[in-house]
Amino acid sequence: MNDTEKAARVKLELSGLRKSFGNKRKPLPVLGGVSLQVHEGEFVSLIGPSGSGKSTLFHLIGGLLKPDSGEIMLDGRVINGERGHIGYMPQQPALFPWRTVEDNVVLDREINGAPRRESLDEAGRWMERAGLAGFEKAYPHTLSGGMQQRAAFVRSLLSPHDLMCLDEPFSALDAFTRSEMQAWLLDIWEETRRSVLFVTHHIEEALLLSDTIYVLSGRPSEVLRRIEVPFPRPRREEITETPEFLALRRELTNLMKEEQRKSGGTPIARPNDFSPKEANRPS
Amino acid sequence: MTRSTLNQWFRSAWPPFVAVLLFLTAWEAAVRFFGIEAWILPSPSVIAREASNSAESLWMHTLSTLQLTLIGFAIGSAFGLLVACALHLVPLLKSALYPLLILSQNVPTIALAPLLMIWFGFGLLPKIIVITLVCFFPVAVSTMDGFAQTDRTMLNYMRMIGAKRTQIFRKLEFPHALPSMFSGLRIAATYSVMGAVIAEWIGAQKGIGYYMILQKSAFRTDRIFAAIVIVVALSLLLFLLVTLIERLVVRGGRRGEHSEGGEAR
Repeated sequence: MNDTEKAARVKLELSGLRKSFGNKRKPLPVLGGVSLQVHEGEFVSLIGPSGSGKSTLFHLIGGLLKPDSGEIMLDGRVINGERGHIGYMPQQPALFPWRTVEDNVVLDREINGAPRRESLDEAGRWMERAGLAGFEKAYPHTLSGGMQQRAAFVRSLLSPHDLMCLDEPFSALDAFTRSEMQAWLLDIWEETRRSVLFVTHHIEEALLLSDTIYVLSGRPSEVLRRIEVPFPRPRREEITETPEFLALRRELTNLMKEEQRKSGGTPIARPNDFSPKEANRPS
Repeated sequence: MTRSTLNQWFRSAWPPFVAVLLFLTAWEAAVRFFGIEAWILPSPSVIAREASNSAESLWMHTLSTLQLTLIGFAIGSAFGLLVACALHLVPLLKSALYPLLILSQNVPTIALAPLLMIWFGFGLLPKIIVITLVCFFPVAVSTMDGFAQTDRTMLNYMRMIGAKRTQIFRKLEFPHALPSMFSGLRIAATYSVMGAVIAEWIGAQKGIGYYMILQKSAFRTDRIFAAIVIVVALSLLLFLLVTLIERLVVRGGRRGEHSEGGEAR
């Protein structure tokens, strides 16, 4: 599996991305030269201590910010500072309360000028797969948190852009809903094989879902390590109990703990547990 | 379901209703007990009798005021909305004009109305300008507030997927500001009735404001009270009308429920 992916085309390539905030006299370097690759049809996770600039990285890819130096290449073309090339799923579902679920789900396509009829057909199909059948005309506030997240995921899945950027999409969910959502996402992703860049705090989640994991250091962040996840696809949740999985998890946990200590931040209390306060903090 | 909403309505409606009833009873009793003369303070029953006696002329004046109010309210609100959109879309305009906007509210309308009469005569135009002046401000300010309070995560989302400025405005900021806009409209609705009455005081041949001035010079306190009741009723009517339109226009859950990822209901 990994061999074929190595041969696959590079979808997104970041090379030497640097970004600082603050003023000239007191610059606050956030990204200190981040390089990584997402291949066509690859699921790539980014994990790192809080405050390691993961959201900044997304804003760079989305074109909201321009890097101080370095390049963002999509399909071999530099897209520094250009908007409208990616599908996106934020931490909070950010569904528009005045739109029905169906109208929310087609929003990305609507913005990008896709014909409405076609979008609605597609939406209906995927909403059924997401367990949202029958909620097409409902308003978002009537949905549970997990359902709202699934709707937000379908919205990014329907995006006409191939690359999906998911920014800690499950961090606001309770542990049980979260693990349900992981299994669901695994299923859907293995069916669609989109190129995904996934940010998370959750080591187990990254190991379960990804082909490749990049571990970021604390600020100014660089790629600390690149890990190819060896488990074959299709994956089942049961792999989380295998010795290989546990060994990898321990390795990553130690790496993160060390990094958190080095960066002088507060230690990650329980990297594998869900802690809403921690997760909601912008990173 | 209809029954329970009716019940709910009844439960929230009876305390103010009883309060008003008690107040009127006390008023009636006081006037009778102390023998207060009708030209100083007429009793509610006298006012009601007089109102039904001169119902025809009152109705004519009411219609005239209602018409003026509605025209003024529509123009004033449209103007306020336009100002809000323009200032929101052009930040330079906002920083230049926002202080002036607030300053404009410190000019007393009563002082301005005679000036407008001098400039624009006694026709409809100066009256509409008066109402527009009192109406546009609450609409403009609350709508701008609504724009400014656009949900950050939604805004961020729209930018990330590459929405253009006009798309962000049309599909996110404007619908997001609707509830705030309607609170402004509710205030403007009641202000517009006041504005119309003031405009009619200064110079008019008909309308409730004109009627009040006329009855004042005749010391017909009972008729003035009848006019006041009509003004209050008109304000309330417009207020309810705006609320009704809001119910029809604003869809979905109340603001603030969306990003909680809340409970299923």
